[in-house]
Amino acid sequence: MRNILLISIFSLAFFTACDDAVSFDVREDALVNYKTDINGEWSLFSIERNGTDLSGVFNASAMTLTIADGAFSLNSSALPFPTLKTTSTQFDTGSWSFDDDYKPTSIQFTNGSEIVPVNLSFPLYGSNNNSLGLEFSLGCGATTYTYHFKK
Amino acid sequence: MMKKINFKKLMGGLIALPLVFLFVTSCFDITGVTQPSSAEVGETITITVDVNFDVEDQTNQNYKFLVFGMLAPKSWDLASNATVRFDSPIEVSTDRPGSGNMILDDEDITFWGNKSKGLDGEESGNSYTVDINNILDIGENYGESEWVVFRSEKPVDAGSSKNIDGTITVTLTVGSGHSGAQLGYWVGSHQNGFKQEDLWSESTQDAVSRHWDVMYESIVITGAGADATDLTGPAPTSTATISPEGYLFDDIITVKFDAKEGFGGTNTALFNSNAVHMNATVMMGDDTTVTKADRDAASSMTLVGDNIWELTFWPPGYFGATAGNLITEIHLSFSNADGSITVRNPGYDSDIVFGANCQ
Repeated sequence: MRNILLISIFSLAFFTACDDAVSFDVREDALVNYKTDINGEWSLFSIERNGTDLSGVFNASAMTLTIADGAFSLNSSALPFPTLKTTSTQFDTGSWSFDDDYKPTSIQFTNGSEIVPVNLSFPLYGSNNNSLGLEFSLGCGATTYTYHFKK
Repeated sequence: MMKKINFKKLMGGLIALPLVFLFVTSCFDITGVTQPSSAEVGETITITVDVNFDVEDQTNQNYKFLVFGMLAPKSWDLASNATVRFDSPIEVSTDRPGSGNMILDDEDITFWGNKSKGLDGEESGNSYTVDINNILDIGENYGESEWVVFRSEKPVDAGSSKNIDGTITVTLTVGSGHSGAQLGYWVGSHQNGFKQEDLWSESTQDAVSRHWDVMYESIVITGAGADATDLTGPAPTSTATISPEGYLFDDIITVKFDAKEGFGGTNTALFNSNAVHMNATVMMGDDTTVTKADRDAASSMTLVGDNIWELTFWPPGYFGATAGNLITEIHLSFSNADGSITVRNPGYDSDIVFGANCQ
C-alpha cells in the first residue's frame, strides 16, 4: 500500500514536469543593454594598499571625483590619484571613457595625449550605481591600491 | 757517567738549523693599486697591486709563502669569484718561483705555511683568514665586508735581491648588494705574518709594518639595484623603516620610527616621548631639496605600538612635488613636540636616508 502511494506521488511529479514551462514576468527594460552610468560626484570612502585598509592612517576623505558626461575632475591635486603621478604629466581634469560602455572592466582618464587606464575593482550596474572601485598602481608596480568611492 | 745522546732530537735540530736561516726578515710595501673607480654589477674587473719586496740586509735565502688578503663586500663572495696571481722578476727555481697562482687560504693550520702570526710575531694558533679579520679594520665600510686570504702555491725565494717590484693581480666579478664600497689589500708573508715592527732603517717605504702593508681604495658600483647600500655611507638602521616593501615616491608610504632602536641596541632619546614629529628633507630630480621640519600637525606621528610611531603620507602632496620633478631620496630625523630632542641615524649624527625601493 505504501509503495503504491510512493509511486503515485512520483508519477504526479513527472506529469507535472511534463507540463508547460513555468513562466515569469520580466521587465521589458531588463532585456535592453544600457550604457553604464556613473555620472555624479563621488567621495573617496576608503583606500587599500596591497589589500590593507589605510583608513585611519591616511586621510583621503577630502577627495572627490566628479564625473559628468565624458568629463571628470578632481577637487584636489594634493591627494594621490593615478593621474597625478610625478613621473608623467599631472592632470586633475579631463575626459574619461570605459573600455566597454555596457560591461566596463576599466576606465581611462585622458587629458590631451596623456591616457591613464585604471581597472574597475568590481562590476557596475547600468544605472543607480552608488559604489565605484578603482584599482591601480601609483608608483611601484608591485604595490597596488584600491580606491572605494561612494556617492 | 756519559750522557745519553738523543739522536732523534739531534737530527731534528740539524734539520731545523737551515730553516732558521731561511726565515729571514723581509719588507713588504704596497706602492700602488690600480683599481677601476667604478664598475657594474656582474662585470669582471682586474685589479693590480704593486708591491715592493726587500730582504733588507739579509743575504740568506728566503723560503716563504707570499700571503695576500683582499677586503671586499661579503656579497661578492671573493672566495668563489676571485682569482689571484703574483708576478715578479725573481726566478730561483721551479720549487720557489717568482710568479704563479695564489690559492685560497683553506685554513688548515696543520700545514706550516698556513699558520698565522699575530702582531707580536708569535704563532697565534689561527689561520690567516681568522687573524686578518680580527687584526685589520674594514676601512670606511660600515660592515658587511670581509677579508679573504690567498697565498702563493709554492714558497717564494727572493735570494739576496733587494727592492724587487712585483705585482699581485686579482680578477673578480663585481657582486650585487652595494652601490659603493672600499676595497682593501694586504700583503705579507707567512714568515712574520702580522708582526708589527718598525720599518727597516734603510727602508724608504711607508708600510704599516716592516713585515706587511695594507692599502684601501674606494669603488662605485653601478647597476646594484634600488635596495643596494653604499658601504661607505651610514649603515642601514632599524630606527626608521619605510613600507610598503616596494615603493617609489609616488606611492603612499608609511614611515615607521622605533624609539627603542638607538645606537648599539640602546633606546633613542625619544624613548617614552609623548609626541613624535617627522622631519624630512627630500632630494628632487632637479637637484633641489624640499624640507618639512616645522613639527606641524601633518608631521605628527601616531603611536602604534611600544614606542613605535608611524606616519602615512603621499610624498608628492606632502612636499609639493610637481610633474617631471621626481623625489629621489628622503632624509629623515625625528623630534619631540617642542623640537628640543631630535633623533637622527644612531651612531652617525646624520639623517636616516632612504632611496626608492622598487624591484
